[in-house]
Amino acid sequence: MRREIPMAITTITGVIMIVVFFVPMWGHWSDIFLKWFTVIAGFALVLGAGSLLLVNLNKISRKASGWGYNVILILGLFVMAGLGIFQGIKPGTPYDFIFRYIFTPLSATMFSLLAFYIASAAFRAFKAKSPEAALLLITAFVVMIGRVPIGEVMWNWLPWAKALPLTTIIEDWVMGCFNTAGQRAIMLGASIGIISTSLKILLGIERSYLGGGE
Amino acid sequence: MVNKRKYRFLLTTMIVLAISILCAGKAFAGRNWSEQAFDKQTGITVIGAENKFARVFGISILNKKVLWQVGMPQSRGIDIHIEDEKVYLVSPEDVRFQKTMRAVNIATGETYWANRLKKNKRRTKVYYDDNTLYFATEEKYRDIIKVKLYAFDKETGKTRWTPYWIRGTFKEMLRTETGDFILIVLASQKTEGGKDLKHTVKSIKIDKNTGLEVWERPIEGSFVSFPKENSGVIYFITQKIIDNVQKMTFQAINAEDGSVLSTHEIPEGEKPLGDAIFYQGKPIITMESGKVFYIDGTKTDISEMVLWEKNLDSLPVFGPKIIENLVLVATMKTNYLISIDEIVEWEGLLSQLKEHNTPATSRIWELLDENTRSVIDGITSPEELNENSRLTIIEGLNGIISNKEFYARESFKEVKLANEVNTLLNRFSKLDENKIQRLNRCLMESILVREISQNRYYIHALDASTGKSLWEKPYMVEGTLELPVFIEGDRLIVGSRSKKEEGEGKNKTTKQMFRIVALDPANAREMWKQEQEGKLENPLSIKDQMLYVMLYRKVEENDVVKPAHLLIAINIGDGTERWTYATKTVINTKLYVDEDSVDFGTKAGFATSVGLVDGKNIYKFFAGINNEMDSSIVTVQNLLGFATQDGKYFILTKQGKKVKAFNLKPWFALWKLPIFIGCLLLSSALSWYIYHARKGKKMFIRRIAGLTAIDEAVGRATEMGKPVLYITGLADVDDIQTLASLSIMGHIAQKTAEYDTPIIVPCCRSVVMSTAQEVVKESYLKAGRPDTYRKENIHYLTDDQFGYVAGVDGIMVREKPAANFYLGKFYAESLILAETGHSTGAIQIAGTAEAAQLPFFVAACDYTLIGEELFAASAYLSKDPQQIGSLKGQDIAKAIMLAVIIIGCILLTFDIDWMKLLLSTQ
Amino acid sequence: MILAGLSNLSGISTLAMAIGQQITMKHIVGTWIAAFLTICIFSFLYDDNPLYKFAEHLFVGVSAGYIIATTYRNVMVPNLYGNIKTGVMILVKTGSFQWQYLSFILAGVMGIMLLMKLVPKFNWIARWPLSFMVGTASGLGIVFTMEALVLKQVDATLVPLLVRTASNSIQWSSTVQNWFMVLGVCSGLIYFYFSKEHKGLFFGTFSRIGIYVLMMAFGAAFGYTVMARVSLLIGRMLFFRDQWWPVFKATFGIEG
Repeated sequence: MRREIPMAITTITGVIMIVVFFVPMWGHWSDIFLKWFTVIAGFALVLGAGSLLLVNLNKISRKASGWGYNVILILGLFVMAGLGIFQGIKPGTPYDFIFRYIFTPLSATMFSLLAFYIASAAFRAFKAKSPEAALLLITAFVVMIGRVPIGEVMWNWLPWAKALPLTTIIEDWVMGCFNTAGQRAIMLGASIGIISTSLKILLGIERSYLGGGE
Repeated sequence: MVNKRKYRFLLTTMIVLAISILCAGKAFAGRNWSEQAFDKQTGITVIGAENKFARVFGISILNKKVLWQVGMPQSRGIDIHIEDEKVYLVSPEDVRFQKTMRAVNIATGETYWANRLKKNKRRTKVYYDDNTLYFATEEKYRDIIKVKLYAFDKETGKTRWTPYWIRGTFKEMLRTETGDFILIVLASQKTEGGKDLKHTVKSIKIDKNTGLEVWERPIEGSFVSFPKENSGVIYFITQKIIDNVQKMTFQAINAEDGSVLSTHEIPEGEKPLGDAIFYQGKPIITMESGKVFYIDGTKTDISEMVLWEKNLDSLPVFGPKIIENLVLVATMKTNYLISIDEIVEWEGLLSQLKEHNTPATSRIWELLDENTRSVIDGITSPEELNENSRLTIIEGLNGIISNKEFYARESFKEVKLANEVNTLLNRFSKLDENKIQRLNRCLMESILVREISQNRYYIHALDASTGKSLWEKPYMVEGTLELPVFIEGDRLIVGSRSKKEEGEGKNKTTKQMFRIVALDPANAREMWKQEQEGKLENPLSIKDQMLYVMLYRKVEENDVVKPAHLLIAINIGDGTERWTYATKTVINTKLYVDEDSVDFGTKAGFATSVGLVDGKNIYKFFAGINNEMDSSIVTVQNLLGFATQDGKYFILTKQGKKVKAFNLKPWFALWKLPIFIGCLLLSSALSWYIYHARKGKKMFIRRIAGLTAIDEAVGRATEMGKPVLYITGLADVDDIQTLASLSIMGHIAQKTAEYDTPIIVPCCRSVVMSTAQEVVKESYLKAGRPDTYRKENIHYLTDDQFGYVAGVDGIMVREKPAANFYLGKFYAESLILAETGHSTGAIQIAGTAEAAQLPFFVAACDYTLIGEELFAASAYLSKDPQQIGSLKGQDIAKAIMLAVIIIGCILLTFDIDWMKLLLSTQ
Repeated sequence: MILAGLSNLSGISTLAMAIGQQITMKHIVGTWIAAFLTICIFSFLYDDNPLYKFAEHLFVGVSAGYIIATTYRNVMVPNLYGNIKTGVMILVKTGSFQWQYLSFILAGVMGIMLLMKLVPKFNWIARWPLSFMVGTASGLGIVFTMEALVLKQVDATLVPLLVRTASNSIQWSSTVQNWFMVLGVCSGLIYFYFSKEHKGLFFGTFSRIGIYVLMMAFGAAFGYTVMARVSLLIGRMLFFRDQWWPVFKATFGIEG
């Protein structure tokens, strides 16, 4: 029963979600279920925080190398969560200060690392080894030069630039035609995969998420 | 056995659903209620729901019954007309399988006649005659657009005459006093030889009895104001651009024969505003410059044409409006120079000038004349400010405003300029005196005191027959003119708003004030004035010499600032406030003023009624959570009815007691039928193959490159004695990609357990972590190595995208896993992960259905599972026949899609578009 | 030195206000911290180092704390506590059961069930809420995917294979584009066929074309994103110019 009941819950919930989607009278239940979802996920944060604490406290107690960093992590966690829960998250609070001057710059900088990584990835892709990689490289290159002003200027030096403006190639052909076609094929394929997996879960065929038996 | 039962259960559910749509039959309904017509005599209201497959209901309030319902396409904008027990319904648009227009019996809903106007869009309202209904449509077929004028017999629904048609796009239609129609069409013609189309505006008169063209007149240029007909003359103003100069022409056409009565070119720089109003059949036109003309269009000579002319010397913002023989115009005037009474806060201004320690204020100081400077320096405390010193300071500041030198971009490089300054600079390449003043003033405002900016509004009253001002001087409105000016009884009501500041320093708050002033129309004398905090949002309601005003404002309750409304009843005669009523939430309907109550609905889902006499709450009826009132309120005898957003129709007594509530929502959302069919089709394909696979049918599945590499990757990690890193993506378990990833993780974890290689799973979501622990534990159990399972290796980091990435990057560079798996949903972080992983020299296998992230995985990883392959992977790895069966089912689903695409495209090539219609869900 | 700088602050305060930020002691300290942390993260580009380790651990800790606090404030308080409170209030006042509100008690119960994972004996109860979550996801997965992806994308792919103008002449560029698009989508789908080997005239050819189309799409998306990513970096550099530099000047009392 320890396996059957959860599977029944999954199937019933799933069928309810499908039914309320098609029945306007009950439509609001879909929103309510999704809100329940966020509430349950909220409770789950206790597990998450517990896991984070366990791993770090373990390192600290073992005095593993670099345990000082784990102290910082735990401090950050407690200070931020404590301030937010007990003092509020309005502008002007200490929570807001940490958010603005620690969290936001860290986030933005981490994100901006992408500029370097995209360059190194592009560099690697330039060593095209197969026809597929070559295609990726060529399209990427064409689109890239189309996105920078100098690319347009360079293109206009070419003899056929008048008949075939760079923007037409990029907008109409590369982006509008091939990119759309490729993205669409992926999306269509993926959506079939999503529907199939969902159905398998509802039918109880795919149940690995439940983990062990008894 | 359990599975089989579930399988049957699902099938049964689907069959039941399928039967329910068949039973639902005509149950078309929409989400929101839109058009409504009410027949007072029978107490029957006809109401339409908005949707592609809309329904129109006939509800008897008196008998508390839904009498009938008919399906109509697109009820938003549906024309409902009740006449002699008949309801005429005309949809704005044609939708397949539906009748565009019909006439039904109001009591029974029995259809007298119905018509479908294929591919037509109604562009005008419906005009009803004694026995005919008329409207114009636009019909589109491929690239050809036709404008058609239809006339239908009210009795039979047959067309009275072959619809008049002309190629072109619809511009406007007007009806003359004789009942004929003037159709204005932008007609396209092919020019000789060339590919380009030539556009001409045509004005065509169509006889209402025959549908034949009486005359046609091409019009040059485009319309500045659309034609209007009065006393047999059609007036309009057109514009043309010749050599970059706008030329506007006033024209008058004889409605009888289409002959031009007069044309007059409007002088350069003049621009007419809005539509004309008519006094004794002749138009009164206002110009941007503030000039008002009363014109006789039948005269050709300009001197005879203009009956009177008046210059108001300011920009008309409202009107003209004509009441009996009174012409009301509201105008706006902007003063560029600062006047002494405009400065609200002298203290602040003075201290800023005295200190002048910012680049901007020091620039002002620099430009001030010696005299003003010494005056400012001489004042030590604000009390010393007297009339003279104030005047000197103002003069000094005005001097700067007129100074061309003041504005120089360099001086204000670091100052964030008010939007208006930037707009001014961008808009005008050349700055004339006026514009420089405007610019300088804006600049000064953004540096100094913001309150000095003010537009002044004036109301002018003219005698319609002579054009003479009726008042000594125009009435100056306090603040910003807010609502249309109108006359009620013998009071001219003017509304305005302004900001009011209260408190000082940190406690300083700005309040929106709304003001109503009643004037004597004869001499503009103020009779009374009412001022309240709030913002006017809806037009005022008037009944029996009482004015009902609804003001929006924010109220604080338990530390929470909430928007709310305040109702005020004001006696128009003396301006006394009879009562006020404060609501706790926002009113989201207009006010329905009835015999003895004001009714309205609130956003929280309350229908509320307030007594007209005392402003006391009569009732508050709760229609349901956030179930807003979504139609107008109709009242008959002691009952009232209204529809709400979630599709209910309520009938209440005037005391607020519920008499009856109907649920007008259908049991099946028919507009979602394509989704339903799609789901059914795909599910059956999948179920079919799952079923057959279970029966033992062998199915072939091709090798998927990324998956066969898994063994290699785990093997290498074992050889190197390094761990395996597995990332399930950023999404929670609400994303199927995460679930697919967890399933694959089970297989990989089993491998690592067998090889005795640690697997590290840092998680971004707590639920995912909790699930992942179970999955990995199970895998270790299956591999027979439960002792080597390390719970702490599957741990949570943070929900935050980049915080998580930072953490995982740290793990990668420190633990140096030999194999990295990124399977699941990823966003921008995909590349950071993949590149860091690459730099540590790990074998990387990625997989996601996010089309936007795939390029980066393809570029930076050794193997990538693209889109559907991610979902197929768990089936492939499980070797479970049912899962393999589902893969075959997926292939069939793709075959269906391919068929739909190819057949649809072929059909579309031959202009057959029903496949597209089948796929559209809205 | 710093104090001298602070006394000079009033001079540029208006300027700073003009660019939308008030220079206060808080702002100065904060900006210095932000600048330091930015450098710490960037240092990772060279190699793992103590600075990055510090920033990373701080980031993970703070962001986890941030998530906990916002979830508490924005999810748990309004959705759980708020809804139950409203439901109870309506129940007490009017006596009617408003399930839309009261049902959140069940959500709370499920949340607690999930926490049972911490008690080894009742470990299994935690699967119930999990099953609920997976159930909602898969139910929605079917219908929403059908609505938002399958039907919309197939619908968008339906294009005429011969584009004609009003005068019935053929528009060649659009026609060819439509052909490529339809062919691209179809062969892309064929690439995803699992029950057939990518061999033979039909499957071999089309899956080959399919993978080429996918690669071109990847290339295009890659090229399109490059500039967007570079602008992120520029944004970070602008932080130093527009926010940190004024603070730097203020701190050390540099004029101008």
